[in-house]
Amino acid sequence: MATYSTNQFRSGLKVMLDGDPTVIIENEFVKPGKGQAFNRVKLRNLMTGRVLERTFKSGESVEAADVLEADMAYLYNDGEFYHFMNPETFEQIAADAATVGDNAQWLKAQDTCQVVLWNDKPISVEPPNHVELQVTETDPGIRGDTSSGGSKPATLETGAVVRVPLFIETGETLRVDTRTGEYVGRVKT
Amino acid sequence: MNRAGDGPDTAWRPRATVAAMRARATMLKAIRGYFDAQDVLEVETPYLSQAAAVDPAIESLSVNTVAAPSSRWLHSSPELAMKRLLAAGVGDMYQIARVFRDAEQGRWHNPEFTLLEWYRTGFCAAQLRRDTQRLLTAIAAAMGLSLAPPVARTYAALFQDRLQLDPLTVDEAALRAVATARGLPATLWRHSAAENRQALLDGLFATQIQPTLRGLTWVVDYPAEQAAMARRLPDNPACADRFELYWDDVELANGYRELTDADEQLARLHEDRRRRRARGQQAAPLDQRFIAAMQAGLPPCAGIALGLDRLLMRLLGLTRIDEVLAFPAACA
Repeated sequence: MATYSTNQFRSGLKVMLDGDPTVIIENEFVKPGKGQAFNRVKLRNLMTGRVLERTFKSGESVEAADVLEADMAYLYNDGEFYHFMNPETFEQIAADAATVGDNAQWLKAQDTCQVVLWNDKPISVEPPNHVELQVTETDPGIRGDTSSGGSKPATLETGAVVRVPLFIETGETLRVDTRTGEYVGRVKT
Repeated sequence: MNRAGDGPDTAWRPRATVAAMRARATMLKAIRGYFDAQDVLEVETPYLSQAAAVDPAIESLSVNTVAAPSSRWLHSSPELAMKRLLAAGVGDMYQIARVFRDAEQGRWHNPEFTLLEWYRTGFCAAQLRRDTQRLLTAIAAAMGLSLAPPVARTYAALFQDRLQLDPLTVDEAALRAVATARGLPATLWRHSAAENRQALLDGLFATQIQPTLRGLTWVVDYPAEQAAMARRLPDNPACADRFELYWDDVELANGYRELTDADEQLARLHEDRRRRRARGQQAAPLDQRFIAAMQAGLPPCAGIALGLDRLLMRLLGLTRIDEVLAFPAACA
């Protein structure tokens, strides 16, 4: 079992804490001139996304988390699982709906997602920052309406609903920022 | 001049800006001017010593010589050598020294750093604190800055305020309960009861009290168990005549009304060595010449060590010690 000593701590290091894999966000070495040294560490639980703070006595060791980040192509959803493939090894993995969460609404076949694997099992899926998706349904644009700030909802091919300008029509392809869920622009096809 | 970037082609460049280097030179000049005006002598003592720190919280770096492996140690503080000078009657003195401490690296730590250490004969703790404040004022003025004067809080009052406990009388079980509730690790209490109390107090101070300090604060009257080389307070032997200066949550300086009793000093050194052995730390040879100097007689005096890199960081508003070092450990 691999372990890391506190003097190897740095941001980005993956360690086990209370049975869950975590990533170190911040590591602060705290030591009084005459006294015990500590590491005050901020970590993100990779299962829940929650940020927690822990104090370690310097010199302590913690178990390494066998966590891997891989770029994988999204293939399809079989109704229960979302399937991804490593484009280099052609190895496939399946992530359940709980793991994919709200990001499911941005998944389009062949797009490259970042999949985090713990002990070879997927624990989170991040879509690309920008995706291009076709509008499957939106109210017809109102010609001549030039009032600023006018927008309407549009349903995209993955089921996501985003606010778009009034001139957008069904069938057009849009660029969307998956981090904010906001419309970025039209894609000429 | 460019700061070091990410590319390998810039890895040779200094990390501190030229402005920070100039500020350091201004600080050093102000320090020398201050002490020169008061007839305090600048001295130099060896960086390479036959003895090492016996404080269990400090790891000295050992040095191999052609004659023998680990036969010399880089000093972690010039304190013992300067006390030999005091015992020899040299009088008021200061030193600006590079000191070395293994395994100390982080936002506020570099394994080698610059200490200003000085001693004033006949001074009590309060006099040395005022002296320190005048020195800081002079340094700040040389940089065109002014500082609000420090406030003084006793170690016990800070614990009472923040944690509602008396650090001088609280027992280990009560400390453990508070530490557990505040998320401190159970690995803190693995040694003798006395050592556990001290580690718990250190842990609570560093994580619960230190982060709440604002401005310049003198923390005074440490528990006698944390006396290090300070005398006990004559009217309250549960406390040591030890004081530390903080700037916000950053420890800048540690001072004592010095212990002059050679027998008590020797007993403390042996106790520290015993603790090192019990923890499996590297054995540190005792400085026999220091002990002999104490037996010859240390004059009544107060002394203090001030971390100049951290002081410079705070004066310049910087947040990483690397920003005031030309070449911090990672690129030394």
